[in-house]
Amino acid sequence: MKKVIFNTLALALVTFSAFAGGGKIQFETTKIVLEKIQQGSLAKGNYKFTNTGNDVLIIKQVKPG
Amino acid sequence: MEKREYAPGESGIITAEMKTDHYYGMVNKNIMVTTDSDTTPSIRLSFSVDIYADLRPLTTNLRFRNIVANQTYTQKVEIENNMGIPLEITKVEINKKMMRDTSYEINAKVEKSEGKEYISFDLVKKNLDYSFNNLSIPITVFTNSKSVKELQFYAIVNLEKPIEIDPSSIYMYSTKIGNKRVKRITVKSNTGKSIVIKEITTTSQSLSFEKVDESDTIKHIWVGVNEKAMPGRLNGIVMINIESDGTLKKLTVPVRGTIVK
Repeated sequence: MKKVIFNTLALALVTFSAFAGGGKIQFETTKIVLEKIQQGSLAKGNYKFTNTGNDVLIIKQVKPG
Repeated sequence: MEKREYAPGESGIITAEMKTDHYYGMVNKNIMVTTDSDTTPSIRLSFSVDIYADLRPLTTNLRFRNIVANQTYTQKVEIENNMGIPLEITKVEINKKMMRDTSYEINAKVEKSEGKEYISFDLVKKNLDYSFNNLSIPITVFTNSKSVKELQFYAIVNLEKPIEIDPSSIYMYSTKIGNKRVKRITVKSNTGKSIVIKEITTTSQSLSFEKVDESDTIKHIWVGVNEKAMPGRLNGIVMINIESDGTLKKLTVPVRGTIVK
């Protein structure tokens, strides 16, 4: 019986690590529209985000795409 | 981005920057953010910028076709002017460093028509060298705009053939033996320089030729069938040696057809 319980626990732990890793990133907005920017100037926009998960959030990469 | 790791509840900022030097109008870009989160492993951010310029030409390519030396050709380009003051041209430059033929002169001036502003370009080829048939000429127009000080254009020049031959091939259908004026070949100088037909030869023994001078720059050759020709199929090439501007040019015209009694 214990063995069965152990096996069930082990399975539960594996499931947890596979589906609940890292934090959760949530952006205030994912779309920025800048109007009337003069050619030659630098267009700049800020995306504010919060880690709404219960774990540390790691941002691996930010790239154009 | 300030850092890479964020504790639960912690906030951060991702800053997007875009250089707008070579863009105009609405430009859309995406940013892909990849995290270690299983619920949000990647998120696509959208960055749209509406860019305007003091001056914007509707095209930067000016096409000049069938150019002959010492004649002026004009092309106009509409300019969208957001300066609030009229466009002025302070200087026009040709970047001759990259050009194989530097005999071109270009002038530009501002023209107004029905509330629109145009830059009008006048192009002249100053020598009779026709070595380079196609050429792209980089032109820089300096303006009175504080932000768009220079406008870059390209004059794409295609030269007229110095010597033109028409038609390029001949078919003589059921030509009777001895008919010496069946088809006419015209040789024309487009450069204004006189041409001389030095020699006409052929690979066919059946063909005859008759030269007719229309002017110094236009010559005709009547092609026919001589008395010695035999009935049957006709297949040959006419080779015309032309002298113009001290040089000899060889032009060929294929001839096909049938000969009848």
